[in-house]
Amino acid sequence: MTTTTGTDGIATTATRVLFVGDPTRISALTQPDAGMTAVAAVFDVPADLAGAVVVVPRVPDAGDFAQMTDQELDTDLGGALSELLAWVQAVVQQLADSRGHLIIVLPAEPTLGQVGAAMSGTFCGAALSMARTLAIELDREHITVNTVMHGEPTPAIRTGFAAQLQALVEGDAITGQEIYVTSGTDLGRLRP
Amino acid sequence: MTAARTALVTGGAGGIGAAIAQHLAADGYRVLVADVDLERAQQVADSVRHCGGQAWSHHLDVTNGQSRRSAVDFTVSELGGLDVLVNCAGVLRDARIRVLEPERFTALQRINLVGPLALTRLAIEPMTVAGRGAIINIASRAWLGTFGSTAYSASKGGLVGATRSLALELGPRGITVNCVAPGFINTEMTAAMPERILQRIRAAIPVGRGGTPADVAETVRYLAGAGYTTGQVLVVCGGRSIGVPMAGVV
Repeated sequence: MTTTTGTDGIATTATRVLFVGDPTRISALTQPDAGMTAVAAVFDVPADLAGAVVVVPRVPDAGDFAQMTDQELDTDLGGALSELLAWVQAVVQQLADSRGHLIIVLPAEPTLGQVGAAMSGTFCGAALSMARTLAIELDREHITVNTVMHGEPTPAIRTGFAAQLQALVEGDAITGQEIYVTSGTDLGRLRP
Repeated sequence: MTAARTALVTGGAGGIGAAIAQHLAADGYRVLVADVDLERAQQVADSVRHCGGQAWSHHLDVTNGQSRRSAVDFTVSELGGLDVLVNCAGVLRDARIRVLEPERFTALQRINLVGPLALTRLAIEPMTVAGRGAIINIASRAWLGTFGSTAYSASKGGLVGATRSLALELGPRGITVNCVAPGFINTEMTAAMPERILQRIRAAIPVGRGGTPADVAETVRYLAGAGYTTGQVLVVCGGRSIGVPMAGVV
């Protein structure tokens, strides 16, 4: 954590952005020269957490819904949701006594609806609603909760994604919002 | 007269489920009232028949694979097919994120989300063969976010997410998939809430009253026969979802 002294003499904490969750998805979305205050891909929630945490959850694989077994639904979907809850609770616990920012990152296509992606879409819908509720609950604690949906991680998407994160970790005016970083591929579609 | 003629209503013994069964039966559907509470399901089926409708009752635990298979098979064999599935079974046992027990979260997802999806997968089989069908998921206005409702809102958001992808996937087979998202509905459960809370809720509803199970059932009846409406969420909340949210209440 970086501590600086402002012009008013009050010590302030520079925003640190940490990524937690699925390493594969994190590495696809981040880039070292994104211009953010600090970016570190980590897979544990440190005890001295302050600033902002980006949760990039594991999203269940797409697949033919008709062929899915009860076991797959329970373990893949239910397991991924339990995992998300664990991440979020770990983050929120560490943000208990400080202002902070929680950002949940989801793939845009299954979130909006996609053929052959019923399980992924279900997960994304659940995560979206969870984030909405968290934003309402944590607002009184000055913790913002937002969701960013991204398209295929092209260089443009990664740059836009980093810029969007930067905007979301400045102040606590933006909370409960859902932003699509898709280069416009979602235009014209009703959002969930 | 609608084309679809048979319906399976899960959670059919509850206030909203019973109203849905009544409304579909009144439209001529042969209805299976399925619920984990078989005795109450039988009472609902009796009530439907008393009003001139055709109804059967069946035990259904949506978290149990054999039970789900049994309900679908019974509908197909005894009622003559499966044209409409209404996923109405659900529970509301929730807590704030800081105190929510993971076990409670998992149990709720199994009842509200995973079970209904698994049942839907079974229902798709006869619907695909018939080349028609309607799947209606009863979500909740809580899908938009509600204080103290991490698990419940996630489960209902999951249903909305499933609805969108499945609507795209099943549309070519003649199967529609939609959601109904009820807001505050007058049921036995909500009647037990403190009067001061009820007053605040009613004051926040633009139409000035709580909804009735019939309000939800009317929407389900429309969607059951609406072949050109799919992938949608119809919010039945008296306009509350466009008003100022209230922290601390459902």
